[in-house]
Amino acid sequence: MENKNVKKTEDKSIQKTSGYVFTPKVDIWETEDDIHLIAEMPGVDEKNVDINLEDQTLTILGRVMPDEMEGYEKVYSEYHVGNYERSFTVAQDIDRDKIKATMKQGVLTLVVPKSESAKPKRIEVKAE
Amino acid sequence: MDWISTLRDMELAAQDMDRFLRGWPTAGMRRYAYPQVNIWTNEDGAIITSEVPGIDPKKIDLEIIGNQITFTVELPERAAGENICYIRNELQTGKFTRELRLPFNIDADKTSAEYAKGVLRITVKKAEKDKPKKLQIKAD
Repeated sequence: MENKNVKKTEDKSIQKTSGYVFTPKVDIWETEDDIHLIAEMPGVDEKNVDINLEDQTLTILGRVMPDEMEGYEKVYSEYHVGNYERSFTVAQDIDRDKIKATMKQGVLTLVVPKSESAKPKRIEVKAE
Repeated sequence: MDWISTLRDMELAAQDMDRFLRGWPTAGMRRYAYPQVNIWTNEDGAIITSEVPGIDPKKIDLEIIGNQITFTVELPERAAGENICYIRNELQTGKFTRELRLPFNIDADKTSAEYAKGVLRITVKKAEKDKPKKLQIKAD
C-alpha cells in the first residue's frame, strides 16, 4: 500500500478509546481508471487512521482522542465524539500496493486503481 | 436569560420536531441544525466546537454581534474530473450557517477560533460588563 501520510497497519483489533463507534459518511465514485473513496472522520489525524484490506473486505478505522476542555464544563451537546469504522466489499483482484491514502482536515481520501480486467475496453468496429 | 432556560428552549424545540416526525420512517432521529455544536462554559466565557471536516478554513465566516455568534461554512463538492459515476453520495455540500445566542455579551476582540482535524473550535470571552464582580463590604 503506498502511503502519502497515512500509516498502514496489519493490526486487526480495534482498540476503542471511547464508547462510541460511528459509521463515517462517504462519497464513492469511479472513473475509468480508479475508484475514489472519501470518508468524513472529523477529529481524526493521520496518525490515527488504519486501513485494512483482507480478502475482499476493505476496512477503514479512525481513532479519536476525546476533547479535553480544562477548566470548562460541558453545558450543551448536539453531537458525540467517538471512533469511526466502516467496511466495504471490493473486487478480488485489487492491487493493495497501489492504494493511495491521504488524510487532511478530518477527511480520508482513498484512491484504489482498478484492476486491468475491470477497466472498460473499447472494441473498435472495423469498417470495410 | 441563563444557560438552563436557553437549553430548555432548544430542547423543547427539538421535542416538537420529534413529535412532528413521529410515524415517519425517520422517527427517533433527532434533527438538529447543521453544523452541530457542543458548548462548554466557565466564568470567563465559553468554547463552541463543531465538526465540519474538509473545508477551507479561509472560507469560514465568523461574526459576533452582542450575545450572538454566527458562523458559515462551505462544504465543497468532492468529486472532480470527467466521466464520474457515483457509487455512494452521502456527503453534504453547500453553504451552512449556524446562529447561536449566548446568555452573555461577547468580547469580539478576545474571541479566537481555530480549525484542526476538521473540527472548528471557537473560544469566546465574556464582555467585561457581563462578568461577575465582587464588591467589598465596608464595615465600620
